[in-house]
Formats: sequence, structure tokens, C-alpha cells
Amino acid sequence: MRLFHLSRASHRSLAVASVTVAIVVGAPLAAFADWVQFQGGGAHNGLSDGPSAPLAVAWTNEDIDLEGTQTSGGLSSPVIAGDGTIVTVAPNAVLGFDGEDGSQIFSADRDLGPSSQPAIGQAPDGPIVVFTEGFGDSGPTPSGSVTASPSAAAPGDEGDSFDSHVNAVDLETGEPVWGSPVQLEDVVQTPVAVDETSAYIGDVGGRVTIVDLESGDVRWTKELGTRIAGAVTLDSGRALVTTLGGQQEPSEIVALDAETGDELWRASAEDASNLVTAPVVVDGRMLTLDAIGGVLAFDAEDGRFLWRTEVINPSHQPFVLPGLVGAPAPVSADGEVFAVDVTGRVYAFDAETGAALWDHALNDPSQFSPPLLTDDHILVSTDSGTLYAIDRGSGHLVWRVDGGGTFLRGLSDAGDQLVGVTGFRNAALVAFVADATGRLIDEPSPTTLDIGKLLTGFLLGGALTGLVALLLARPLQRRLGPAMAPGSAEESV
Amino acid sequence: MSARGRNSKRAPEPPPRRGLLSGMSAPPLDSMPRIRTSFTRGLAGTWSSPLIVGSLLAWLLGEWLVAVALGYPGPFALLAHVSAPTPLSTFTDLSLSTGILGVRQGLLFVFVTAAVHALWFSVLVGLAIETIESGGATRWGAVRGLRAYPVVLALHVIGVAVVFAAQIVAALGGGGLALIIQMAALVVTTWVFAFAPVIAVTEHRRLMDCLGRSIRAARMPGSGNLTFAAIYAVPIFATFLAPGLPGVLLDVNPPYSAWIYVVLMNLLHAAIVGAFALRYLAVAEEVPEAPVRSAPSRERAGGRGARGRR
Repeated sequence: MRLFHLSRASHRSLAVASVTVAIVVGAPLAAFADWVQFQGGGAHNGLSDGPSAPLAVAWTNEDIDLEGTQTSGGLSSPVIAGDGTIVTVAPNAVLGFDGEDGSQIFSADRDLGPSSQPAIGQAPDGPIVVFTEGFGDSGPTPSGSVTASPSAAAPGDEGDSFDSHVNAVDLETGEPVWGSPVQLEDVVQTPVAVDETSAYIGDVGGRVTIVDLESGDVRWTKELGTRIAGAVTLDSGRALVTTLGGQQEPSEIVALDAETGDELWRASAEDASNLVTAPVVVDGRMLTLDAIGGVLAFDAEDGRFLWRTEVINPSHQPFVLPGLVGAPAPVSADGEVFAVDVTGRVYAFDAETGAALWDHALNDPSQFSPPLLTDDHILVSTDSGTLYAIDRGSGHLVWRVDGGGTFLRGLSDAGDQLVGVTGFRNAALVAFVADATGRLIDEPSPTTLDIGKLLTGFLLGGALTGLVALLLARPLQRRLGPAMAPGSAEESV
Repeated sequence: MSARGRNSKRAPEPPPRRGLLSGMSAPPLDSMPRIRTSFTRGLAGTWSSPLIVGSLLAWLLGEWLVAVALGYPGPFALLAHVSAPTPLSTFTDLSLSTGILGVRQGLLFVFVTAAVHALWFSVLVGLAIETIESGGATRWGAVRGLRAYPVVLALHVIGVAVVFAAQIVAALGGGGLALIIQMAALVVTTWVFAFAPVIAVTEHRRLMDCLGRSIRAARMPGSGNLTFAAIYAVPIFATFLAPGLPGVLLDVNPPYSAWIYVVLMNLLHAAIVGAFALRYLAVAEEVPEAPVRSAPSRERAGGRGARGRR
């Protein structure tokens, strides 16, 4: 494994100096957040205590070289180590960036594979980056497209090997930490999850593999039948796994004992479609989304079905299975559940009943990223590269800021800044900080009826067009006369 | 001599059976207005009528307000084809119903939206026929158009069936073939059924008779009806796929550009309805009647009845 560090020591010194100066001058400085895996922690709740709107771009790093020819996968959503180091996976490498300015500090080789989000786990000798690699025999498929069906080919003839692994490198040194990578049987397109001792990986073949962080030994595996549809969620000693389901197999959330792999229960809803996200655990509820627009809640303790509310979006199937990058997920806090569909429409529900509270149509697709929830706002990264902030109470748009590149995704809480990635082949890293000079806006959703605006559009557009048509056609009709008058049918115009 | 022998002597020689597209190679039908003439007449007749233009605007505004009140969030551009003949307007029926109630319940609700749209289309056909016949439209034209309601409603149901069938067949074909299959289904259905509402209004025929007569009128050799249907339906189908048209966002307060697009498209459909009316009325007397059931089948039926009575 090739590895190089880029003046990490000097960056460190700079960071320490910055902290010292900040303390001396009394400026508020948040501690680095713990965003070591998909949506923050093992429950994947997407809650951030970092900055919120108004936001401004602090820095961008567009000088990221994705080595190799197969670079269309771009960068994975980033994860943030305890010291602020930003780690992301490129098609051929694991990349580390300085949290202060986004400069690259290390790169470690990785077998070509989907840019699935890595996780940072704690090994006895320090933090390690756990990542998946390899496409298998089918080779890479074009990314940037999200499909509702598995995009990786099924295993071919017997004897075909799927060259897919779990691997880990030391965050400090970039050296491999395990004797050898852990062989998997299928490609992985979902984020890695970690707890104190283990990494949890679900593959497209429906297999969950649990790897000991210290040794890299497989602790247990479990066959669940159909494709794993999101990151494995870790809650109260259980691993909660969403299976996509198939023609005959139901789509379920399976609770496994995290220690032994024993199955505890299965949760499903009769009228649900294929579940497409990791189960997100908040306030004793387990939340997920289904493909035809269902937002579902189960009891996190026993998997009992609580409610399902279906969102309707005439423009597009609301929620889709993650492709080679990104993964959808709902977020929830303070008795409310929020979800963002692929067209960028944001929905809020009562967490107790599932009743719809409000929605806001951003009309800016958000295909590759779950939202992030701050104390006041829900932050939505979109394909145009704009980051939107929606007020949690009113559902009104309160802020928008251009991230400087397209396909903004994977917003992660890095303490006093939020970090995301943009682009695919032209990958970049972008950080947002609180903008002290910014003033929040207050825009209701375009799906809220404004009768004045509606009538203005009608009068200026519809009525005027009708009037023009009348004025143009009347002289013509006078000249032509009734069409069925004798001989008129044969007349040529 | 056997019964078969006697019948074969008396019965006239049946006309040679024509294929679906056999009329295309025939010389032009003199009594059928040219395509350009039809369209110009349809446009001048419908667009010059304050009643047609005004009621079209009122219908669009009213339908939009009702749809929004029922929870439809947009896109507004969907209403661009409310005034189109089926199956082009079927996409509006489907999208509106699933956009309000979701995919599962919306598929049943589609017949409710179809029934509502059939009402508007019947009125529009009545008004368009009146402009063709007399040069102007009155409210009696609208009332007269309601005669076509059962036929138009049936056509909406057929439209739903055609759209689903085309999608199923297209799914089997895959890729570019799917697009061609869907487009062909739209063109053929528009072609064969476009005259049915006009027949219902002007000739007071029953449903099946209207549909049959519409097919026979559409297939008249040298009429150019298939060409006309294709010239109309293919570009309309293209607008279903075209990105960036005004009014495609989720927005219940459409901007003026979206209104311009939607009203223009509906006016275009109204002009086409007028053109179809003119084309049918111009050849109505030449459309062959449905062939009468042959005598042997009646005899066989009588024979069976006689045996049954015994």
C-alpha cells in the first residue's frame, strides 16, 4: 500500500496555534465533533451541534487528483476524526485532509471500487479508517446515476471471485492495520458502520460481515437473503439491518445481536414498498424510507410497527436506493421527523403519529445525500451545489449558499464547520462556517398557495395569451367564413 | 343443391379485405380537406371564439385551483394537455390522480379525473363543431357537445388501457424500441378514435357505432388521416420528454411563462379538435356503414333457436 503524508506536522502546529489564539482572544470555538461514520454516529441520526445558517464557504479544495481512469465515482461522503482530520474515499485511494484548510495530508492506495463512505474506528493503537474496496468481476458501473435496482452485477459462474474487501489503515500513519484485508463475497455500496470494537458491513448479496477492529478477524457473518439497503445501524447492543427485499422476499429491518449475530426480531410493514435506507434510531423510534414514498416508524426496542406516512411527488419516485455514492436517510429530533426526496422536497412529520406538518419544495434535486439537522434548521445539500437551510418550525427557506461545485453531498459536522464534497470526476472538498454578517431570509415553499401570485401569473400569462389568440384569429376567421359553407372544404388556404 | 351453394350464388362478392395501412397508398380523397387547410380552419374557428378561449381559460384556472385544493403540488405543465384527445390527455389523467393520491390509490382515482376531463372535452368538441358549421360558437354548442360525453368517457378509459398496454409492451422491448412503441400507440389511437366524439355529437349514434364509424372514417383511402394524427401526436409526445419547459417545477403559483405554455398548448389542442371536426364533417357522407351481419350466421342462430324450442 502506497502512502504519503503532506507536511502533516506543520498543519498540526498551525491548528494548535489557531486554537491557542482563539482561546486567548476569547473567540468562541467549538470542539471537533464526533462524525466518524454515516450521519455521525452508530444510530445515524444526522444531528449536528455545529454551525447553522447563515453559512458561508470557508474554504474549498479543488486540487484533488483522483488517480486512475475510473474516476467517475468521485469522492465518498467525508467522515471526521476526533482531531478534525477529514477522511474520504476516492475510487482508487483513501484520502485525508486537514480540517483547518482542507489541504491533503495523506493518501493510501485502495482497490478500485464504489466510493462508499468509510468509518473511523478506535483500535488499541489509535484511530483507524475502515473502508471497503473492490468492484468484483463485473467491474465499475457508471456512477452519478441512482437506480432503484441493484447496479452491481450478480455473481457469475461459480468460480468467479468477487474481489471485494474490507480494509483498514491507521489514521496517523496510513499504514495497513490488519494482516490482510477481509475478503467479502459481494461488492459493498453502503457506508461502513463502527462501534467501539467492530466494523459492520452490508453487501449487495445480502450478507452482513462484522470485523474486529483490532485484529481484522471476522467475528461473524449473517446471510439475510436480499441486498442490504443502507448502513448497518448500531443501537443498544444490536445491529439493525435493512434488507431491500425482492420479488418473493419481504423488505425488512432485521435486528441482530451485535455480539453473537443471533437474530432478535424482524420488522416490516404490510403496505410498505422496498425499504431503501439505514434504520435511523431517534428517541426510541426506528425510522426508514421506502421506495414509493413511505416514511416509516417502528419501535426501536421490539420492531413493532408504529406508523407509515406516504409522501407524494408527482415529478419523481420520492426515495431511491443508494447508487454508488451517497445514501438517503431521514433525520429526527424533538418530536419531529424530516425527510428529503430526490427532487429536493423537504417534508416534516409528527414523530408520534406520522402526521404531515409541512413541506418545502426546493426544486433542486438532492439525489446523493441525506440532510443534516441542526438545532434550528434542516440543511439540504443539492445536486446544483447549493446548500439550503429550512427552518424546522415553519418549513420556510431561511438560507441558501452556493458550495462552488455541483453535486454537493455528504455534509458532515466538523465542529465549527460543516464539510461536504462536490463533483464526481472534478471532485472537490468544501467547508461551510457560520456567517456572522449574513441575515436570514424567510421564503415559504412554492407549494404554498399565494392567490395574488397565482392570479398575477394567470393574468399576465394565460389571459394575455388568450387575448392575443383571439385578436389574431378573428380577422382570419372573418376572412375565411364558416368552414362548412358550400365549397369551403375544398378551398385551399 | 346445398344451402351453401345457394347462398354463394346470391351473395354479392365481398370487397377485398384491406390491411390497416392499405389506404396510405391510395390517391388523395378529393372531399377531404388538406392537412394545412384543416388546421387553419380549426385554428381560426376555435381561437376566434371568445366563448371557446374564455371557457378554456376558466376551465384551466378552475381545475388548477381544485387540484391545488386537493393537495396537488405541481407541476403545472401537466395541464398543457387537458384539451387533447385521448390518449394524449390520458397522461394528464394519470399524473393528476397519482399526484394527488399517490401511486396506489391514484390508479383508481384516474377514472374520476378522466370523467371530469371528459366533461370538458365534450363541451370543447361541441363548441368546435359549431364554429366549423356556423363560424361561431354559442352555449348551445356546449350543450350539444354533452351528447358526446359517454363516448368521450369511454375513450378516456380506452386511453388508460392503451397507455398501460403500451408501457408493458415497451418494457418488454426496452430502450429506444420502448419509445417507438409508446409513440406508435399514441399515434394509432389518436388516428382511429379522433372522429368518435364528432360522430357522437353530429349523428347521435350509439357508443360502439361511433367507435366503429370513427375507425372506418380514419381508414378511408387517401384521407391522410394517419399522417395528420402523426404530425400532431409525435411533437406532443416529444413535449412529455422535453426538459426545461415552463411549469415543470413543483409550484402551485405558476409564473406567467408557465401559463403562456399551458394556454398555448391547450389552444393548439382546441385547434386540432376543430380540424378533426372539419375533416370528419367533410367526408361524413362517404364513410362506409358497418357491414351488415351475413345471412348464414342469422340462419345458424335461428336454427339453434329452433332446436332449442323443440
